[in-house]
Amino acid sequence: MKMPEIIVLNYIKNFRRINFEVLSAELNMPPTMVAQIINRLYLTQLIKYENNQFIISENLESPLLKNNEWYTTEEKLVIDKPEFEWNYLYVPENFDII
Amino acid sequence: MDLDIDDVINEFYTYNSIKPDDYISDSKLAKINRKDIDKFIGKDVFKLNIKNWINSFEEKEKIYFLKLLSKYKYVDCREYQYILCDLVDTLDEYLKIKGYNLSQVVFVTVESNVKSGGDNIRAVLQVSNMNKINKNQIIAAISKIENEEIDNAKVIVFIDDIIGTGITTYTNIKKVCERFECVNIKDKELLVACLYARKKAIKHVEKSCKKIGINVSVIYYNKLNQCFENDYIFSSKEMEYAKNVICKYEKRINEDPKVKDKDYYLGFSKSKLLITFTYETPNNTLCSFWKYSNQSAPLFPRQSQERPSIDQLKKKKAISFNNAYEAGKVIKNENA
Repeated sequence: MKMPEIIVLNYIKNFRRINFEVLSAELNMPPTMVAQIINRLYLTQLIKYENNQFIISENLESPLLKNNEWYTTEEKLVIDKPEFEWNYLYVPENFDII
Repeated sequence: MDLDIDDVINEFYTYNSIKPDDYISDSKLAKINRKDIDKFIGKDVFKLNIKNWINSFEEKEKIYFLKLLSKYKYVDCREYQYILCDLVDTLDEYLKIKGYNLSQVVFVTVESNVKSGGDNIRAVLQVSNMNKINKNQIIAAISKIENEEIDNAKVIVFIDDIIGTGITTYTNIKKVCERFECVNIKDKELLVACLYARKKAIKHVEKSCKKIGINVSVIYYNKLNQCFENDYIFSSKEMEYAKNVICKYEKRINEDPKVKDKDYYLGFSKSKLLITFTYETPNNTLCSFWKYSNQSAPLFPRQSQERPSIDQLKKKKAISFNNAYEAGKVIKNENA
């Protein structure tokens, strides 16, 4: 299974619906490409569509779906990196020799 | 000012049947709190955005724009999916009466060189009607498909999110009919389906098509009112003054700076509409709501005006890279 499919499956597992804006932003794809992924998952019976809700197939087992959180690393990327403050001019001590 | 911003926000949410707690603009917070992302009406930004927008108007004239906002149609992602589902059901009933069924239909969206609502319609139409419509029935680029595909269909549905003036819809129908003249497209059942439409625009489409020998029927979910219709937003007593104030700002925002060869005074072709879809604001909406100018920040800016920053692109690339790396780690640990 490819990464975009895992992200879509995790979203469906958590929300039981599709939000194209969220998934397009997460996968960096236009909505029609997200729809193609969903269609592929539906045709391969990895997801079902019942009563206007999407459900993940009971048979589907993947280590990547075990985590209950929707799979994304965005939070990890926005970690608290100490930002350098440009509030004074830094002049190296050996500036005159350079 | 008699109207309080909080009251207007409440009226706006009620008018659009939106639960304010459902949306947050910050993607990180939305994921943690399991909310949907909406950069315009997210509870964390909406009030601030309104304040920034309304500040560009003079104090005593702000009330007229707040009144417009209280009757502003905002179609969020949930409603959008619901409407497209409902529209297909209505279409299905209509076709049954005419002796057809959904499998005999081809959906044609507006082909555009720039980003348009067509992409969203195709995606939502396919996913929200998974059990009813096949993806091959939805056509994106009419110029690139074979005659056979159209010839096999019994019904052709031209689908769009909004018919504001009818000009784009008519142009699209005419283009398709010219392109497929050899397969006798005029003998097929031709329909126009849209989410929101102006009655005048529908008449324009029907009339123009009739002139070139095409019979089309229009199916729509809801009709749109123009903002200056009597007793819709403004009472007949305050109408004249409100009109003058709004027109003054519309003129100013349209011309500061003026988009080359385009006129958005009171919306494209003076449509005077108040509507935004979650992914885009149609240019038929009053330009005070979506156009950047040197004096104002729009409340629902059109995406065509935005450009992604280098930082945004770098961040997107880093997320994709890290996603693949993290997924690889999980799989490796499972297999170990």
